[in-house]
Amino acid sequence: MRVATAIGVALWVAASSASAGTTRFHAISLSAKLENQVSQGVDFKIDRSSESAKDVVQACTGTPTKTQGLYLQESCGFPGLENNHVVIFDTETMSVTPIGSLELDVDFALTHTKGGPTQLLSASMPFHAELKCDSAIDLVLDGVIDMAFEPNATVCLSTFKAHFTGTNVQGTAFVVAPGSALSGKKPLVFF
Amino acid sequence: MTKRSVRGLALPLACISLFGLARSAGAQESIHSVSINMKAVAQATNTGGDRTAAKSTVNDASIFEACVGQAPTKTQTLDLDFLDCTDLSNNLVNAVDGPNFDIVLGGIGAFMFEMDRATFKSSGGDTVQKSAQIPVLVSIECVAPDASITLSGIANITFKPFGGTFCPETVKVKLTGFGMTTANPAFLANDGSSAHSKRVVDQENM
Repeated sequence: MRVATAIGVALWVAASSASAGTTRFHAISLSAKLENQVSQGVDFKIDRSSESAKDVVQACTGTPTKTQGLYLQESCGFPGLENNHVVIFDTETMSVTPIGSLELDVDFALTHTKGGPTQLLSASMPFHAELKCDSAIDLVLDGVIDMAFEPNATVCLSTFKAHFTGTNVQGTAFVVAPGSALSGKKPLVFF
Repeated sequence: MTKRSVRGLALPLACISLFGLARSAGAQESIHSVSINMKAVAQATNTGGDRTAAKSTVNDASIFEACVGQAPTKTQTLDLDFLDCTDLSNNLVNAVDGPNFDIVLGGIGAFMFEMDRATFKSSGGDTVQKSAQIPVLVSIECVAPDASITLSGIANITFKPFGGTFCPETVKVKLTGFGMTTANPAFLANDGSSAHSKRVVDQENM
């Protein structure tokens, strides 16, 4: 990652444009609806809970700081967005811990353009994600992601949102139920 | 075509099955009517040359037509056949005909349940199985004419006792995924897509 860490200071701006050599991190908001099988006396019941991005960071780091968060580290380009990483990113220390990626099925991508097919506005496509950190998080997710792009020639993500279902195989098996979603904010861009 | 009691693989019309049979003697079988509704979004181009999305609905009738080669009559539909209630993964989606789906036109798919991730509700200890939530991959595949659909979701299944075991009563699942049929080139099955099934008849296999 090319960041201005030589003097221990990161320069970052809210993105309005992108160019080669930048590194882009989108903060992820997560709302996973978990439904787990539990014993109640001799019967089996369903226990419902939710998992947020903060919960994931806590599970993966143990003791998260205020500057740590769940991010999507993006490589601009379409195709090319497939080369992304879901990471625990610390905006102070600039440490990056990958925990998985969003595997995008670009064969089924639907795009919106303007000015003919050249300027890409948005795209929707199926995705598959396996997010894992040690034994704390082991999420397998499938859904559809909607992406909005910045108005530039490089094709960089602006924001995104996704609905998904899946499983978490951590400990006792449980499901990630319908209604689960994630979204990504406009990126922090590091030069 | 074949009577359900025989259930060979003699397929009608243009339907070519990619799914086989796996019935066990003595097994409790539960046959469901199944409806599938997909919010399909396909790539389109508007008059200005911009790429846009074209929305449509792909449902069980259009899947039937894509696989069998003609629209279903009033007595024709798709079923979801749990061939052995003790093994939910042993199931088929069939194109069928008749009031109790007696005539099987051909197998066109399956609900692939991820049983090791299932969560159950029970009462009376684990002796009375009431409901389950199970990750599922719904696969529809047929050729000439073509349909290829892959959907994933979490199935909510309710059970009722039958023949000493518990058979699915209903299956409800919200789905997302992708697919194509002869009438619908590559499409995205968006959030809001679903499949429902309801038990029509149970039988014990000889």
